[in-house]
Amino acid sequence: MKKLLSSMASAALLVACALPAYAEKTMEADIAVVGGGLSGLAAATQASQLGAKVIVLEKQAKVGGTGLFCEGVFAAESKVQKRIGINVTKDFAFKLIMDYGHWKNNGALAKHFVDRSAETIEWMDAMGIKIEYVGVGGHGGPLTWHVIAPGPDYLSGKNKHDYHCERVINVFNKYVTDHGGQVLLQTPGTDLIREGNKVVGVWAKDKSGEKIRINAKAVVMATGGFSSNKEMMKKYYPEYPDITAVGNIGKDGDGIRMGTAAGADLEGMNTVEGYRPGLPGFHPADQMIALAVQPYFWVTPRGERYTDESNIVFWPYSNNSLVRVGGVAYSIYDDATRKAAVEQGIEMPLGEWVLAGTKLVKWEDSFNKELARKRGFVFKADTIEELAKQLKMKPEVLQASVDQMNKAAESRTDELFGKPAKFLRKVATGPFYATKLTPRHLGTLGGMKVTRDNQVVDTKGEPISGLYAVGTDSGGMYGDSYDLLLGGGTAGYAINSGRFAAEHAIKYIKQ
Amino acid sequence: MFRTTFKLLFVLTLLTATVSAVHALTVGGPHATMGFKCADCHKTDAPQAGPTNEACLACHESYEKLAQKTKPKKINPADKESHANPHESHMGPINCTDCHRTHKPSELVCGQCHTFDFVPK
Repeated sequence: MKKLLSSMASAALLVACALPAYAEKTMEADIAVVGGGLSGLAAATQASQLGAKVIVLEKQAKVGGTGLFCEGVFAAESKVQKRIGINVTKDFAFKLIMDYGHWKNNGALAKHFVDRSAETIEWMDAMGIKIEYVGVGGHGGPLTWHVIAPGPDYLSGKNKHDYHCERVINVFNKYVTDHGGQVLLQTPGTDLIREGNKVVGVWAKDKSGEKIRINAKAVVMATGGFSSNKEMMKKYYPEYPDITAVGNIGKDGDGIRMGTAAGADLEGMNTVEGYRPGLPGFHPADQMIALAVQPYFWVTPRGERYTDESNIVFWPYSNNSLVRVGGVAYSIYDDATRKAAVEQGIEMPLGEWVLAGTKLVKWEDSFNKELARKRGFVFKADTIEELAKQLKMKPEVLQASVDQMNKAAESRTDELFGKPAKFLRKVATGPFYATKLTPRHLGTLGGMKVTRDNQVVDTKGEPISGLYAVGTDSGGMYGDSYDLLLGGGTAGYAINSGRFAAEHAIKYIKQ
Repeated sequence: MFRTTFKLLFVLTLLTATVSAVHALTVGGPHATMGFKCADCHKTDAPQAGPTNEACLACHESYEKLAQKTKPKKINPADKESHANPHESHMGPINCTDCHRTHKPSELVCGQCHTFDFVPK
């Protein structure tokens, strides 16, 4: 038996040797950043400014990650807020964040974030990142969302994307490469290198499969969470693991996997950044979706209303109520509502994507195109009974819900969910339209447990020397639900946490 | 002991399977009738991974040239998606093989988030 084993082992060895052996390359850095999105590039920029030699590893062919998708960042007591008389104090913002999360959050981290947020706006301003205006998270909320103004390349027509958070990405990326840093594209980090209890570098793999050993005094994990990792989504978001992710692809949980292998503790893993419901395969600004998410009449697959539709103002609420009923709903509206949206404009804005008052002139094209695809996403019928049949609902159940809605629209009182009267509309004039709604999110929010300076800690709360986690690779900013009360939270935290990690890492290196 | 044996057997089976699977692959798509051999794209007779962009662009020139070819013919300024060009996207110069496949059907990476009408060759 032993002999057989050893001969088999040598056979395996032979086959293994027949595989092409890739050469190993070694690179040296003060700080290695894994992930070149908003948080990673912020860390790299801050570290470069403080004199460190930085290497950024980016899995995709382009930097930016989900930072290419946002518009603005949170701050409290910024110069621009003070100038136009917006009274959102740091104390107010901190308390709001912590109360919203029922103090499940990492309070020291949240306070550090809030307290430094205004200074971070100034830090960006000095690099040429300007603020266009200060807006809200949910309509009518506190004014904290510092929306980024178009940059010079946008204004000159050279780069139509030099605007919103992509402007920030462009400036950070240029800063790092102009100051001796290296940004390696299509080169993901694969494993941490440890010496005793210290993290002393990271392995990477370039696009030809060549392994690169990066020796670094500190490593910052900024890979953007795990929304593309089906296994992890099943484990941590069992309520609806197939939730559609809006944002960059390739967020495979690399940072969390590597960090866990080095002993990192995890926090808040079950919280996702719940978004307006919609359908996979549609742009967030699609006008068919824009009409479907107007807060009028949404029903479960049985044909019953399940929520105050207008909670979509704070879209995490909308996601929570949809996931609660199983993750499928239908938004039904009549031709009068369609006509109003197309000719007069919509009542409920979709952030910066579709502004309030936008006339949905593209609705017809989008709706009919999708109807022709026959994917079971949209439906049209002349009567409620016919629509119910198409949706496989009991016609009498849907009809009863429609009758109740119409009664509510007349009496201006929603007995079921207390929806504000301005959003009570009849479903009465055929033809009738239905759009399927399913859960969507903008990313995962749980990750490695960190200190107020984004040092990763182990299960005993002891910081792991040389390891940092930032942005959505770190947990602790949220309770059990994404907080939209203060607009720009996730993007603002990405940038601020990147700075905290870089600042602390420089101090650690100099020790 | 038995466990180790099984592990080894498993590894051996896997290796053999990989090698024989490679031999079984045929060239499909637009390259099918061009008499391609493995090394024409993979630069080796025993490929372990897909070809690099450099290998594809040795014949197909450049991303910019391809972007010219797939430029949208009709742009509706109000419709963001009508601006879409698969070779000039917010993804940057991704691997050609992320969409274009020779040994199995091609698949549009954009389709993970968008519904576009174009079909990769």
